[in-house]
Amino acid sequence: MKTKKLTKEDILNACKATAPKGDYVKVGISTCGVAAGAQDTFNVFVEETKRLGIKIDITKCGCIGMCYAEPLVEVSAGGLPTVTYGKVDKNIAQEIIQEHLAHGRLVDDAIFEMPMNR
Amino acid sequence: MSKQTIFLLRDTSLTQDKTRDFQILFLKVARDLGIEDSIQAVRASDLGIYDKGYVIKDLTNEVIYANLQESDIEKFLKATLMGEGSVDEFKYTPDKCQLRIVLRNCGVIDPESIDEYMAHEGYCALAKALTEMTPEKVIEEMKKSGLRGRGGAGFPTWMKWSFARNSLDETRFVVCNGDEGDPGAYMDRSILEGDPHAIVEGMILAGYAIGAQRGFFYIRAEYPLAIKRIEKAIAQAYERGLLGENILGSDFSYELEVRLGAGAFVCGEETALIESIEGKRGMPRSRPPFPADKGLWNHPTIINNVETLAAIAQIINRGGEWLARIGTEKSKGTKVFAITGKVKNSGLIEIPMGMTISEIVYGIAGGVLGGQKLMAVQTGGPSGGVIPEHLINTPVSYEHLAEVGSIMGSGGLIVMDEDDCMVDIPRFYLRFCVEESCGKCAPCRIGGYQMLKIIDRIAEGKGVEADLEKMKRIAEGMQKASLCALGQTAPNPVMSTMKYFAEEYRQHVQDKKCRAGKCTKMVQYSIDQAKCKKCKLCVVNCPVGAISGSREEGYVVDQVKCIKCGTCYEVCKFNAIVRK
Amino acid sequence: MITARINGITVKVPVGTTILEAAKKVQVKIPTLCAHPDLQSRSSCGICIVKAKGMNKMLRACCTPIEKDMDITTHDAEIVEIRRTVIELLLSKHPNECLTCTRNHTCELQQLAADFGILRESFPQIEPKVPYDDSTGAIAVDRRKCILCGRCVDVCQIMQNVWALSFLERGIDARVAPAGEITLEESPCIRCGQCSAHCPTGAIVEHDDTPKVWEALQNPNLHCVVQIAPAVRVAIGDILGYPSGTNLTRKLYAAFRRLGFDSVFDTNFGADVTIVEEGTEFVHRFTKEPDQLPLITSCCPAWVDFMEKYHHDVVPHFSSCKSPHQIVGALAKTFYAKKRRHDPEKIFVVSIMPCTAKKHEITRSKEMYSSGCQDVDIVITTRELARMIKQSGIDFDALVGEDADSVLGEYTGAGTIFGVTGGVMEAALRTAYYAITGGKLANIEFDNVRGFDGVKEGAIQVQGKTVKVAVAHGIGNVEYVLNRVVEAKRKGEEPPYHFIEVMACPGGCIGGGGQPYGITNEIRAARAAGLYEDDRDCAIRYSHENPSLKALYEEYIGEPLGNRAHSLFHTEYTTYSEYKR
Repeated sequence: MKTKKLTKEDILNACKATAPKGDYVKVGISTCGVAAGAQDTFNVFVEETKRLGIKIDITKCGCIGMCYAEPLVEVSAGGLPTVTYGKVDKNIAQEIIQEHLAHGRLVDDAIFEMPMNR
Repeated sequence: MSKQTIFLLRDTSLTQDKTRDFQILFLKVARDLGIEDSIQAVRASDLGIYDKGYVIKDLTNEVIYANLQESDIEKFLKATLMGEGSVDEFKYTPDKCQLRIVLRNCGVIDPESIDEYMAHEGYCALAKALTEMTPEKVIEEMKKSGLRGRGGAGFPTWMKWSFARNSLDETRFVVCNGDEGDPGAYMDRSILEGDPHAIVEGMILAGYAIGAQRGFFYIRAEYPLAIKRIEKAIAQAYERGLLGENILGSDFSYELEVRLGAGAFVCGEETALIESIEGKRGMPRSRPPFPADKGLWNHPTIINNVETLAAIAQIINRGGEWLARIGTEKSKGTKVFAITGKVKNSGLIEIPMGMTISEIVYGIAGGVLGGQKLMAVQTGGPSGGVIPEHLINTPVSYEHLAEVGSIMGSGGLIVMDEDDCMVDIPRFYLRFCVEESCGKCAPCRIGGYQMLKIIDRIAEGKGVEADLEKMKRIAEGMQKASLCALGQTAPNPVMSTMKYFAEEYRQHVQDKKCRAGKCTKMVQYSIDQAKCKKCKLCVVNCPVGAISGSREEGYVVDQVKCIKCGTCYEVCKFNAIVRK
Repeated sequence: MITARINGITVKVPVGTTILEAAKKVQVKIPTLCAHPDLQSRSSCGICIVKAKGMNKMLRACCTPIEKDMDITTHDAEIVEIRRTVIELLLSKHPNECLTCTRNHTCELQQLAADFGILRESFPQIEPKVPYDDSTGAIAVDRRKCILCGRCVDVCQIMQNVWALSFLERGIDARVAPAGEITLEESPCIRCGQCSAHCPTGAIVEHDDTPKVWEALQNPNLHCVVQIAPAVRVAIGDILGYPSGTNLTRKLYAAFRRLGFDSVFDTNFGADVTIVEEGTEFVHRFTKEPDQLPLITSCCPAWVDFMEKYHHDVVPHFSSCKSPHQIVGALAKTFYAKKRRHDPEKIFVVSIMPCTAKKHEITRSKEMYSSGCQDVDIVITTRELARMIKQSGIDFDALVGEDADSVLGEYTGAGTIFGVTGGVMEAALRTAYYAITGGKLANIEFDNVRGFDGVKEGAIQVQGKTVKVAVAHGIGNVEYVLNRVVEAKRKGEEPPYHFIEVMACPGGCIGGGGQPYGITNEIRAARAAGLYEDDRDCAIRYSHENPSLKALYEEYIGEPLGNRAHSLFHTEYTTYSEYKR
């Protein structure tokens, strides 16, 4: 299949049409994240949500910056504000799935934030 | 109706975490007010705000309140949820926070998806430049922005570009220098991995501006994920017609490919990098001629750092003046730092130029680990220098850092506390440079080695007064007579510590003492029998079994077996281990 | 032209002139260790640093082009101190063995240390464990003495295109060696010795064979024969205190006798034989087997070595004729031995050569034993001979010139120009012209094959036919010529040349790897002029007219390319498949 070559209009339309994203789990998978176990965390989300029948986008992203708190996972689900969980090992990943994804409750002592402007 | 979400954070000035108690109280008050169902109160782990009492963040409204007491809870809840009264006096805006321009997409978009990049203004700058701007206009915009090279030396980017643009030779190249190698620095890797399309776009724009036909990513082979993502980004760009012939229907055609660096630090030096891409041994050439004049295969070549390239698209999108409004007079825009060492929150940060080191360390990174006293901050990696505690209010900019004897460098920022030895740290950097010297020129090859031998001797307690003078002499030879920046700057860590921590060198040379206990040859651990409670913690923890004895006769350290790791010193709860 | 200032003196130089060259114009010599006029500066030593007003970094004079209005300071207290530091650093990784080093008194590092008055060892000695490599028997590499200036690497890779030497490891462990931890003998090294001629220190020197010569001269049972290559006579003066290019042939003959040689011959005689053989070979191919053209000269052993390793495709085009000194060696142990009733086994032939590759050539194949024993016993270089003359206490300057011995000592002007690039071609054309036409050339001197252009091309008319020739010197220049030949062959076209001369060293043998140190193009030109003058001074300037040679063919050899000629004067070539590019 040959992909259509882009035109200027395509590019400008693409950035205007930022469709509201659905619920998602985004795992920071850069080398530092992988070293901290992000790949395992990612796998837990994929497998567990599948097992529990939770329908949610699980994607990858680059380094979020808070390296001391790797692996980092950003979750936007259940009408709750978007939050970033840090030091998400397999257990915390389970907890996020059980609490946040399944029951709409944010997980205590796992949220990390850095004040920043974009 | 969705619940209002509240983050709670403990008062970090307290030694014990009482957030749980605060949360219980908070929920109790909410229940008493009958609003427990309309809120969700969560304990956050870290909000990047420190020593501000209890901190509450109203996430739904994105407002932070700080310095709250238990007694303020009721007032807070009434004001924020029931509209009764006001808690504006607790409102808190972090005075220093990051500004993410280069890192804007890192951790936000899926780096392997060109569509996500495009949804975040991706390739808009390219479309704009190719259809509305001449190459000269692009360079003009870069000039307005005042952007300087982020690889370390800070050469104005537009100037480099216009040298190449104005060359009579029409075969021109663009190179992205992704051979990041400073110990403790990983800014470039994170950008390459987190937002590869931004760099691809920057590369295309740079190629358009200087009239190049080809561009090369030079990425060190130790960054496999970065390589994979850049390769994927390039492939996607080709698929969509953003690379190749007549990009977006314009006259501009441009090819991009990836070349791998084989792990030599010196290949980050632009002329050595050129040799490496050409397939030769990575050794620097003399400059002039500069690469912008005669670079790859003797054609004009501009070599820009990853971070520089990642900023280009934003500048074109928003205009040069936009960037020029950020930063100091001579240093515009933002700088990404990889902050590591003895700091609470190590990580990747991006700050506007002009923020002070103190604001970075305390305001953004949460201060020194374990509440220790800050000793110094190292910028510029092995080419930079230390900035001692008393100069901690130095603003981060090319000019200010140079004033205090350090450099901006590529963005490594290492925090050191009292447990770091100011002879041992520069020794580490010097050893790094000596190992990474290509060996081409004598001042660096032999000078660095001889200097390392001298500082080794000092660290072993065998230094003599004349050694310090000798190091200065070698340093001057290296700084003035080395061919490339590696040799010219390799003595900097030693020279700057000798300047700011002369007393520490004196102690090592004359008193044969290492304050921090890092120069192990000079350190001896022994047990103060009067203080020792015979708990055996040191015996159990000693990795080499160097501590023996009995409850009755007391415990002693076998000096022959001891490897001076300091574990006993750290584990002893009674300060019974003596280090001298 | 641009104007700038050096030490306050205004200097006007062409655009692109380096600060180093510009400084020479105002009588300032900036010290250097790595720069060499033959090579593109690689700016590795860090000694030539200078200050330019308004720049905070020091510049390297050897490789930085001077710019308009630059204000350069070449010497001040700070610069001198930094240079001294760098020299001391170099000395700290260089053994203090000056008194027992081949390069004592010719070492550039030693000279700099003396100039800068280095009176102390400031830094402890670093003694690297690096292997000593004398495996080739022609060139000896003592890496402890290497200062990594990189001249040899550039010589080997760029000037000679051989790539036997490269940089290995890095930092303090960096060293020059063949890639892959092999010895020089196992490497593609062609033993041209240009590395040794360009090395500033004693790190690469010729393999010293003088003890064997002394020993032979001492041995009453041996009849010692010496022969001297054309290029030696005009070069050795550089060491013995004469202006470059001075022809010292007759004084050298006298010195040989003083040294104790029993017979003094001249390689130039062998050169005349080579011309007769090779000329005949050429005429044969040109007139009868044009598909065997071009003919390529083979008297340079380094070139032969290169061809055997890298250019198998041109082997059929190589002249099978041996090099002149091998011919003299073979004749000394046959024709001469028979004539003088000497036991060939007891004749000891010493060749004085401008070349290190000749040390290898004497044992390179079975044809080098054509007399029944090793035709040439020892090769020593010009530099080694100079040492022997000095050791023997000969007052060289006061010597009265003597003549060579017959029957292998007489030579023509054609034989003597063998020592310079283009000379073999010129000599061969003189004889070939005669062989084809039976007449003599109107102008015996071929200007278009003279001079130091890397590749020289020319054509002469012979009986209505054009003979197209090419001359290349410096192996780096050969590729162009060979590529044209190979390309034409592939396309089935007429060859671009009929006759090709190759000499491995720039300038030919006068710039050979065994010649006195400090080679420059000026010196090459002076030596070439010396040989051309020798040619002009010769009564006979055609090889085939050499009376001794005629006698040799009449009495002993018979016809050129005949049976005896074949067995004594010709060789075969091997191809080594393990060397690939």
